[in-house]
Amino acid sequence: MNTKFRKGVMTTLAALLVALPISACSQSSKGPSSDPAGPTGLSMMYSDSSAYPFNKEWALFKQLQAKGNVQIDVQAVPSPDYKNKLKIVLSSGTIPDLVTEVTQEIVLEFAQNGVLLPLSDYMDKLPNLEKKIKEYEIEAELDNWRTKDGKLYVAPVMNEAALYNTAPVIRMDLLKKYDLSVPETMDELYNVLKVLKEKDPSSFPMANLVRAENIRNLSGAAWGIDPSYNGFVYDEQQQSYTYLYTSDNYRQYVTFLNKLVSEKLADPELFTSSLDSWKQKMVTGKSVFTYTWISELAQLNADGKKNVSPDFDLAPIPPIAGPGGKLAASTQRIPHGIVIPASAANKPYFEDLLAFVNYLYSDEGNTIVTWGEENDSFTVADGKKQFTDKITGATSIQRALWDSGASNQNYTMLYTYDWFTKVLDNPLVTSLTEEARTNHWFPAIVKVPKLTSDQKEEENMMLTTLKDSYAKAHDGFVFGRLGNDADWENYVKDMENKGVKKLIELYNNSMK
Amino acid sequence: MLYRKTKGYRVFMIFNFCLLSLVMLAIAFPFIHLISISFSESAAILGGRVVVWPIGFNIDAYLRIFDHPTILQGFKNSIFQTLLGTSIGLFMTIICAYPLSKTFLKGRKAFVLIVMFTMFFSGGLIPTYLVVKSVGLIDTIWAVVIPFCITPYYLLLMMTFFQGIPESLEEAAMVDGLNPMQILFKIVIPLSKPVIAAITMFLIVYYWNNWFNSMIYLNSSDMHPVMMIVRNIVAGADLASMGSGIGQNDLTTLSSASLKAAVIMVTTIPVVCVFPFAQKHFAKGVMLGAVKG
Repeated sequence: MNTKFRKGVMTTLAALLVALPISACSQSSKGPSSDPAGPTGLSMMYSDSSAYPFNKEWALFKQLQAKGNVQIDVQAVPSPDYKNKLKIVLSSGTIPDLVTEVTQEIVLEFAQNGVLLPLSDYMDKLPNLEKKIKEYEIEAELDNWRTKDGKLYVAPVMNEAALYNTAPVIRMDLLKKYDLSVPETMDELYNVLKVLKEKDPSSFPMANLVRAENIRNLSGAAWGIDPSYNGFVYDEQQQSYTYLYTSDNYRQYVTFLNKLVSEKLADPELFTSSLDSWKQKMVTGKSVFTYTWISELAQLNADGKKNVSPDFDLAPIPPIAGPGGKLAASTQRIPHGIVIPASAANKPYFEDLLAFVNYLYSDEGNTIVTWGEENDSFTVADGKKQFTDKITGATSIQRALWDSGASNQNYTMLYTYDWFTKVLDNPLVTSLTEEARTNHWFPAIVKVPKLTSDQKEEENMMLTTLKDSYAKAHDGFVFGRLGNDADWENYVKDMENKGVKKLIELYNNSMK
Repeated sequence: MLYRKTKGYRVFMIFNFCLLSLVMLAIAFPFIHLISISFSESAAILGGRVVVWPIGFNIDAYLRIFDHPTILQGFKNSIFQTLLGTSIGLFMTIICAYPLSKTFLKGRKAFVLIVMFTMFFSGGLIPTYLVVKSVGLIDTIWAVVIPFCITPYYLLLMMTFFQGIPESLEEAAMVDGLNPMQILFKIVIPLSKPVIAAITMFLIVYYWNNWFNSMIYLNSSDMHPVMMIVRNIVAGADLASMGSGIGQNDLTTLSSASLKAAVIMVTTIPVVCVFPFAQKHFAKGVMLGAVKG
């Protein structure tokens, strides 16, 4: 036994000694190489979607190689951890040529460190980007992505139009059954929920999927308290930032939620529900009203029909009006973008790199990365593109496209309205979006203050304490621990002292 | 049979049997429940109807997992990482713990303190990354093995165990003409099987479960371990359905609960298979009667 054990240890050691140098050598460097004859090699850091994992065999890469003359070496990082790795890689100094899915905050943070390439200095090489910015009339939103000196350090992903893809959602079958009309104002909503509670006393008619912020983000515009930058908005008339979470509208909002909670019209787990338990409440009929993404409804309805009744019908409705007006949730048209390291400017293939970025903004390039391959995934008739049966016949259009590498949020720079509605393939989203555009349901863009890194640090310190007291008070008001006038005055004073005043000053200064 | 089968004894046995069965059920039930969830359809899971038997039997969750383009490569990578990491880790821990277990070693206390220091303070992620990068380990298997091969806690555990081995035993070996290296490999290690088995087990579990280091230090997706892949699948089951950007009009009836359960099955079973082989070493006290007089 002893000798056997010793032999085992020795063999392992010997194997290690041999294996160490061998495998160390087999790791060759994988940097991009520029060969005048062949395609340009570009490295890309890529956020790997979980539902649709990266596959280097995708046909799209062959197409890009043939038409865009690039060979892309993808470094896939799982999306849940992407932000962590992104920060490390950007700090480390060795950065891939293209880094995808970078959010606004990170762009501004690293732009100031000089890590990123100022793309606005190279606009002559990126004519397609310049053209599309004008065409999409997106400058107001894009301005939030520029640094204070007006430079742009990111190649933005842009949506041609905002979509009405989140909505208040209610059980239409129950409204019909009890002869109720679709609620149009918050008071009507309260009455409808009250009736539904009377009909099924064990239910909690309103539920919310994960966290307090969700309900504020999706319904806040109607209350005039959203969208905002951490609760702050720029008031054009006064030329100053103001804080929304101590406003009168905000008080009405928490009072309304408190009324729903105290009369048991809203789920007691309103802010603490998990995604799974929220789904469970919806598909078992325990809750009948919520705010959510319209694209979620297909599965909820399928499960609900099996669990509750064949009539089960959760349907999106137009925004419910509040003191802020009849407004939908804010939709960002620029979710994220691609950044290029400043060091790329010294690389021999720099021109090709910019040419490739420009290509992604071209109509031809965009068609490849959104529609896929002509005659395989789409056909053109009378100048209009249609998906082939192969794509529309699949269980999910998105998934079918993804299987060839198209429709990938990492390198799709432009989402045209036409394409988006065809992929969503949801008539409700399309018709409600049309309605939203004609009736101006989409709220205005929030101005993000442009802070230097010192100011950013100062802001962070104040925001942390501010957010803590805010969250505490918010729970207090909604769940009835706080509520009378004295509580409210205390809260307003407390928030001002905890940093609201100083932050407003900081933000106002940053505008100068 | 030493005990007579008295009435009291029988009552005790019945009671004992019932109690232990309950304990066993409490352990086995969650596992069985997860298995049946992994095979059930979404509507039944969300409706809370799945208890012991799967409802609406399907293997969609497993298909989704094994549909991943690099999952099999991931299993290979995980096994390789675990084997390499465990053997290097074990070797380094042993040769570090043995000298530190000798009280006559000069400066021993300082060394032990240095080791203990790292238990409470770490270098931080970005500095560590920069060190690993500057020695050229990024995107090699060594980046996930070498920086983590010594865990201070295991080192202290091993050290304390070595200290418990009687000195006279090693003196006897020295009298018989063994040098310190030989004493370590021929006398001390064979006598330390229980602690080696325990630490091996810890290391195997650590390397098998650890996806974070691979996520940070490995860039090529064909080097990623299975844990990183399945973590992504599970985390994404929640995120993807949230309509982040493009609507996920996926009409599959796969629920994230079922996917999570299937992932737990797929990833724990290999480790569960290893356990029985290591377990027998835990119990064996080889030290009995080694020292006379």
